[in-house]
Amino acid sequence: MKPHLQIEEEEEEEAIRGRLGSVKYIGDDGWVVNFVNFTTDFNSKPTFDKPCSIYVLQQYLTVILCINFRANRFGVFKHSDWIGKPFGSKVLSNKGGFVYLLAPTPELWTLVLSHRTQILYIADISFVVMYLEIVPGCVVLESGTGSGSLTTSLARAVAPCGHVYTFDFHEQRAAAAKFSIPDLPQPWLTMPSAAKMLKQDAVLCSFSPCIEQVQRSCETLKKDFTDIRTFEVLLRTYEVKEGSLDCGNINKGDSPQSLPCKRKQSSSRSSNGTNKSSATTVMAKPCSEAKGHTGYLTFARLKCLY
Amino acid sequence: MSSVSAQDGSIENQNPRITWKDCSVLLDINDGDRLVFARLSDGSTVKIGNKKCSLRPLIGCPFGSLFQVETGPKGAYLSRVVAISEDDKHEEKGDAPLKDEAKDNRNIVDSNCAQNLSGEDIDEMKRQGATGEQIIEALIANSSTFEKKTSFSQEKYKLRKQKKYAPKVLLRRPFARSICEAYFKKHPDRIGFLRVDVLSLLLSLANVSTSSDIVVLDMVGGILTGAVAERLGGTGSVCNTYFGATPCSMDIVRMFNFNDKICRSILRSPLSDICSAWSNNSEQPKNQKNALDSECKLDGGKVSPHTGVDTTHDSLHVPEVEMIQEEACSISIVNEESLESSADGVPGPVPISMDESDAFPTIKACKSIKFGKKATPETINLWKANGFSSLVIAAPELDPWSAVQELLPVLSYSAPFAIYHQYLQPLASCMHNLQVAKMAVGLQITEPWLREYQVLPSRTHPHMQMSSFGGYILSGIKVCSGESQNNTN
Repeated sequence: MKPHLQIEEEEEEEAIRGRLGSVKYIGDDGWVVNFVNFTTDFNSKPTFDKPCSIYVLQQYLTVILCINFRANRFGVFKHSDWIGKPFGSKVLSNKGGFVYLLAPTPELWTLVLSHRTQILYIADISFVVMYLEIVPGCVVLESGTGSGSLTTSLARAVAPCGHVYTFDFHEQRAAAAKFSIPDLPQPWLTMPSAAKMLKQDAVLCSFSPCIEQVQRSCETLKKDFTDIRTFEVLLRTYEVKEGSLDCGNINKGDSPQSLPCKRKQSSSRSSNGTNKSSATTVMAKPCSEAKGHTGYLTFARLKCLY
Repeated sequence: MSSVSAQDGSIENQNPRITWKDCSVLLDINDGDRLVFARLSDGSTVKIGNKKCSLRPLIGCPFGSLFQVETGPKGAYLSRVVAISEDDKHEEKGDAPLKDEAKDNRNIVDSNCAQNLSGEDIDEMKRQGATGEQIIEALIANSSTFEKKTSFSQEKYKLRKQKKYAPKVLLRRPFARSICEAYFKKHPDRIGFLRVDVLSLLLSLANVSTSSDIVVLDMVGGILTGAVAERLGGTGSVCNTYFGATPCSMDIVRMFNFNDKICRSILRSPLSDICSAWSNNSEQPKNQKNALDSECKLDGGKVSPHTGVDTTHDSLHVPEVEMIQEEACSISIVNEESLESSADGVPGPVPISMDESDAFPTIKACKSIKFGKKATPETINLWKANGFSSLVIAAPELDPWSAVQELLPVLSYSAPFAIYHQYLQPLASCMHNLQVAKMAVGLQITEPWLREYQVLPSRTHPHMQMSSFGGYILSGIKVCSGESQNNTN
């Protein structure tokens, strides 16, 4: 059987509604392909004429952006057709649907993870990597791998010569790590041993969804750590659309100049003629729904004792 | 396994976790009240309150160590505080508040006569060589209201007195995070109001990873270039590009303790050179060199280019030595201290001159840091062969769409890009244009939001003051749009 990608009808419906779903990849071993909405809002008729979404083939770590929903069917993509294409290419299915082949990044990976475990989102991840001052060569200890959404970003930051040790519910004693990131139900239990393993002045980060956990962690951290700070990082996404606003009866005649609307900046370069003579405005507004809470990030620095 | 080191620190392969002579440090005075960038040397000093302290004791100390100002026979000096007894103190601090909830401030009247010690008394104590701790003890003993305060406000009182009579200096590593935080706190305008979470997001969204060639348009003083170079750790390259003939300032890069390898990975190239290389196949770039070339002549031994070329950014048109000094004095904020000292009658003349100007006499001798060399045509051709792996723009004064039109073509396909801007509208237009032209996918405008919490027993809440805005980021991934395949109906 040739490997190909196929979408199941009901899940496709869900996909179009812009919710999380999962798509089956009918391949040699029946790998599962995760799917996640990638547009800001499907219902708002994005100016890009079709909504888009992302696919990941976990086996190959190939990320594909899929754009064609209009036919209500992607069709079949022959895997063999993709081999040898440069990243960024658009590939077609037998039914004319198309996908973009994108090089994988930790960000895309995070977007398509199944959210069974508490995962860290991109804003949290970025902030953690920055705050822990993780640079190439660092040794990082991650406690609570979960779905690995943070792990890929940590690995990216320490490459090429560093190391990320990550584990789930197992006490690791051997590694002397520079940084530590517990993401466990009872993070405070790991902290005394983390203190033993870390270099002095090393930074620890604890990610907890609940404030009670934070409270308890902070209490525990006081013993060996200093500069204990807790943050919350969130992202607000915006949707952008082009439209013309009704200016009422003020304008005399049809002269677009008389419209007090802001003119679209410049799309002289854009090939298609969406920018007609009428005065349209590019408008942006925050998406109506957002992740309201991911977790609290508590950072602490190991005291210098010698 | 234990000692895999991040960035082998200085030129001499120093342990990066311990300071060395001529290394750049960030001094955090009294818990962030003042933040001073300095370069450690035998002669360098820092002014704390009205005392000038040599930075020499800091050399060879691990980053993260804490110092306290002590007064000795030869005047004030910095002495290392080793935090052993802190445990017990914290124990008290943490548990106490619940016990004495009965106390409140109903009987405390602000009559300004609660303190029985006079300024003269304190001076006398100082003359007799009392330590800061002893003065604080005395102040507490002689305060008629201290016992009536809740333990929470007792703690606050102690902290206030400690800051004044026993100021503490924390020795911090100058990393992208601490540098960005320091600037954002004291001089946000110099880094285009780029908050640290926003900077971190830019690096993630642009997939800044080892061995990448990253083109940056950095009009935020070099913090972006430095942060990217820090992530690359000397692998790959950072191409700091600029419109027109005048390179943008990247003085902040000097605050990082970059080794030679990392410095060499930071290159400059005018956009015109890059674009012409991309549009021509021949040796064209060579002929395109403009007059600026002669100005910023860069061979190995010469001074780094940034010394004389910057005119776009405020008054940073200074040689690097003075630059550090300028930073050192300008980023520190002294008003709190001076206010306090006048109120409480702390003796000693107020120095007239900015004493930081003679604070770093040995810097001139130190090796000039060679970063930001101009990219050679050969390097540009190497970049051209693969295309840049990602693009980061932080140019508050520039229209994002104009920049993207120039810079997107030099990226390889599937390369991510991230654009920071203070205003939403230019990014929205840019995003719309990219969508219409089908130049990119995964387009998104995001606005990060960062809130810090006070976490204390029964007193956990968000900080009362916070940064309410960190700017917007437009991110996306470049795709092949050239062949304009039609979208199959």
